[in-house]
Amino acid sequence: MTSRSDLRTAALLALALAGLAASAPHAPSAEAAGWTAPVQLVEGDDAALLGAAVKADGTLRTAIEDRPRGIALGLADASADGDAFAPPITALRAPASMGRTEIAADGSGVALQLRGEATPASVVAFDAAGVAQPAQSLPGASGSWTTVAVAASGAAVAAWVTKTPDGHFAVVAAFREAGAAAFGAPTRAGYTTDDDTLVRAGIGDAGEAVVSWQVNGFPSKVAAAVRLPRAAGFGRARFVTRDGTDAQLAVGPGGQAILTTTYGRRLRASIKAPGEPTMPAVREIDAAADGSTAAVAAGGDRRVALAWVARRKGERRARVRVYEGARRPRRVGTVGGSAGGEELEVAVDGSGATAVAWEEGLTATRGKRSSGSAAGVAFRPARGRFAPAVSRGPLSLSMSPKAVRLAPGGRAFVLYEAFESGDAGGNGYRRVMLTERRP
Amino acid sequence: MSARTIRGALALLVVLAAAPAHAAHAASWSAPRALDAPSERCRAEGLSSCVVEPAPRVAVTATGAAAAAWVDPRGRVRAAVATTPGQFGDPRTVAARGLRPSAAVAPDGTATVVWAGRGGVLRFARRPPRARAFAPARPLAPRGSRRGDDFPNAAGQPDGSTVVVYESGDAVRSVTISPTGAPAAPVTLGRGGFGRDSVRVAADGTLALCCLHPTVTDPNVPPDTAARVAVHRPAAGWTLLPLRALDEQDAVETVFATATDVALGTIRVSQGGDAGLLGVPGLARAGAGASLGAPLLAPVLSAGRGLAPDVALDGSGRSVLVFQEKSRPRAFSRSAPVYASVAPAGATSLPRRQRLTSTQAYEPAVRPLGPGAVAVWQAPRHRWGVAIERGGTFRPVGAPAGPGPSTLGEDFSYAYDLESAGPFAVLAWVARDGAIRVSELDARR
Repeated sequence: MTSRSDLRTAALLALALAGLAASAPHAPSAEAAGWTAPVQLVEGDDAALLGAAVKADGTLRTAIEDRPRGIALGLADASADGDAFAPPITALRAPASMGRTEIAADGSGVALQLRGEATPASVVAFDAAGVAQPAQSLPGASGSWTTVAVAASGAAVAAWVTKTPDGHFAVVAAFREAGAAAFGAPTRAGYTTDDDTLVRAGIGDAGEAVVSWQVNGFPSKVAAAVRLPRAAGFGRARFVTRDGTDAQLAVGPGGQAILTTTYGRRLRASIKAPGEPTMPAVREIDAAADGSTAAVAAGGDRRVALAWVARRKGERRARVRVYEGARRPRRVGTVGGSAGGEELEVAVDGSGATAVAWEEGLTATRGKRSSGSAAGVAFRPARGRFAPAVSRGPLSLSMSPKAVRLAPGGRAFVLYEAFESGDAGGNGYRRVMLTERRP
Repeated sequence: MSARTIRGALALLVVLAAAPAHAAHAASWSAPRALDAPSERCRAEGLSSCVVEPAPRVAVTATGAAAAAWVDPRGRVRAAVATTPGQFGDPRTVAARGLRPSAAVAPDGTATVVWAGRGGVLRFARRPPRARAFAPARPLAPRGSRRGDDFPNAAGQPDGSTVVVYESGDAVRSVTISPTGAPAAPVTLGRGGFGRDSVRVAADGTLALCCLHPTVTDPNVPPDTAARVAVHRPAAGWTLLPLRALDEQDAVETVFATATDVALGTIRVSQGGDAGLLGVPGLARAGAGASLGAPLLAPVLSAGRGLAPDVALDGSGRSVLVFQEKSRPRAFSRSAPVYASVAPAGATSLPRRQRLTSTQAYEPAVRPLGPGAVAVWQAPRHRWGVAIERGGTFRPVGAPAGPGPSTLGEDFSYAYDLESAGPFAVLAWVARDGAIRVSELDARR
C-alpha cells in the first residue's frame, strides 16, 4: 500500500520532472506543433546544401555537395513521410566545384559551376534523373556574385557582371525558356561602376524576370531591370533606392517581384505586380527601434512576403516580424523571442500560407560555455494566425536557416545548418538538417 | 706668409663661403606653447583613456597669422589664434562638444573653425580680425545624409571667404562661407571619402582633394568610373581632373595643388596589410590645363618596401616627393628611414634620392616653405626631425624645443598637423603629457 508520504514524494518528483522538461523548451522533441523531428541531410565541413525545391508531387528535392562521398552535385530526395533522405543521385562528381543550384518542379535544375574556389563561370543543367548536360559558359563572368534562378516551370535566368571592351562594367543576363535545352545569348540589364557588384535574379513561370544589382559597399544604390515574358531583353533599368543595404529579391511564379533593402530602423520594399515593366522605388513598410536581417518571398500569382528581425523600443531582444499580401503586404505576425544571426528565410504560397525560419538565441545554462542557438520555425495558414513557434536542434553554437519551402496542403520544409565548434575540446560538427511540417 | 697662415686663411675662407648657405637655413621655431594639458586626475587614470581625439589641426597665412583647433579631454572644441607669427594666444572654447575640428585663416586674419557637431550636423565659428573671441557657433549646412556629415576641411580664401569640404554619406560636399560669415548652399562634388592626406590647402587658398568618383544617375548608361582630383582655386572655383594615366596598381595617397599645377603622391602597390600600402612611391603632376601623367617613380632599393609618399610643389615650382623605405621587413610597422627626391617642373623622371634620416622615423610630411619646402617627421624617442629644401637640396635644421610628438590620441587620420604659407609653417602635435603643443617656423631670416 502506498503511503501518503510516498504519494507526496511522487508528486514532488513529477513536478520536478515537469519543471525540468519545461526549463528546456528548445531541446529537440520528436513531435511539436506538427513539425517532425530533424533529419540529417549531410554532415561535415566538406558537405553543404546547394539548393532545394518542392517537386510537383509535393516531395522535397535537395541539391547537395558531399566531398567525402565524391559528390560535387548530388540530388537527395526526402522520403514521402519525411523521415529520411533517399541515397543521393550523383549528377557531377568531384573535382568539379558547384555553387548555387536551383531546381524546377519536375526535379530538373541548373547549377552554377565555379572556377577555382569561388568564381562562378558557367552553368550546368541537369534533368529530373540527375543527368547533367555539358557546362554552358557565361561569357565574361568574372565576379563572385554571378547568380542563377529557376522557376517551377523550368524557365531560368543567369545574371552576372562582365567588363565591356571599352572598360565599363555591364550587368548581363541569359535566359532559358521553359522546356528549352540551353540558355540564349546574354542581354544587358544595365551598368554598374565596379566589378564587385552584388547581382540577384528571379524568374516567373512564363519567363518574366527581374535582375537587381548594387555595388558591394553599403549603403549603395540598388538598380533593377525587368524582362517581360517572351521579350528579347530588359526594359529600362532604374534605381529603386540610393541607400540600400544588402538587397533581397524574390520573383513569384506569376512574375510578381519583391525587393527589400533594410536601412537600420526602417524596412523598405519595392513591389511589382505581374506584367509591370519596372520595379518601383522602395517605400517604407515598417519601422522599429532597431532592425537587421530581412528576407523576401513570392508565391502563386500575386503573393509576396517579407520577414524582418527587428526590436521594439524598450525591448532588449529582437523578434521576427512577418508581412504578407499582394501590392501592400501587412504584418501578419511576430514570432520568436530572441532572434539573431544573419540568415532568415521566409516562404509564401498562392493562398497566403507563410512559413518562416530564423536563428533563435538560447539562454545560457549552468556549465555551458556559450548559450548557443536553435532553429526557430513557425507556420501560418492562409488568412490565419501563426501557430506557436517551435525550436529545432541539435543545439549548437550557431544555427542558420538555409531554405524554407511550402508544399500544397499546409506542408512546409525547413532546412537549416547547425554548427558547433570543436575548438573547446568537445565534438564539433556541421550538419544540414530538415524538419517538416505536416498538417 | 707661412704655410700655417695660408692654411688658416683658407680655412676661414671655407667657413665664410659656407656661412651664406647656413644662413639660408637659419629658420627658427617659436617656443612651443603647451595648451590644455590633461588634469592630474586624467593622468592618474591613464592618458590614453582621456586623450580621446586631440586632432590638432592648424592653418597659417603668408603673413604668419595662424590658428590651431583641437578637441580637449573634456570633448570641447578648442582653438588658439596667433595674430603675430608664433605668438599663440590663450585657447578658447569654441564649442562645448564636437569632433574633428578644422581651422582656416583668411589673409585678413579672420579665423574659422569647422567641426562635426551633434546629430551629424557640421557647425562653424568665426573670429573676425581684431576680435578677442570666436562668435557663437552656427550650423554650416543641413545634414546631407542619414549617416550625418563629418570630416570637414576648411581653407581660407583671399577674399576673406572660407571653403569647406566634408563627407556627407558616400558623397563629398562643399560649402563656401562668405566674408560676412554666411554659408552658401552645399554643393555635391561627387562620391568619395577622406583618408589620411586626402585634402590639402595651399598658401593661396587652393584646396585639393582626392579622390572623387562621379555620381551615377542612370543605370542604363555606361558610367564614367575614372577617379578625379577636385581642386578649388580662388579664381576658378571647383574643377575635376580625371585620373586616367594611373596604373591599376597605383594608389593615390596624397594630393597637392597650386594656382596652376596639381601633384599626387602615389604608391605602386606591391602589398597591402596592417602596415598600410607598401610598394614604389611616385609623384604624378599636371600643369595648367594639362592632364595628369603617369607617376614618376621614386628610386627605391626594394619595390616592396616603399611607403608614405607626401608631395609638395615648392616655392620655386619644383616637384618634391618625400617618402619612406624600410631597410628590412617589419610587420605592423610604418617606421622607416625618410628620403626625398626633388625634380624640376617638366621632369620625366625623379633624380637620385636624398636621405633625410636613417633612423626609424614615422609619418613624414612635406610642405612648401618660401622658395623651397620643409619636411617634418617623427623621430625615435619622441623627437622631431626637420629639414628645409633650398635649390633642390634638403638640409637639416633644428626642431621645436621641448617635448616632441607622441602617438597619443592618434586615429586613422592624423597624429599631428603641418601647414605652411610663404615663409611660415605651423606644426601642432600632442606631446607625451597629453598637452597640445603648437610652434611656428619663421624662415624669413
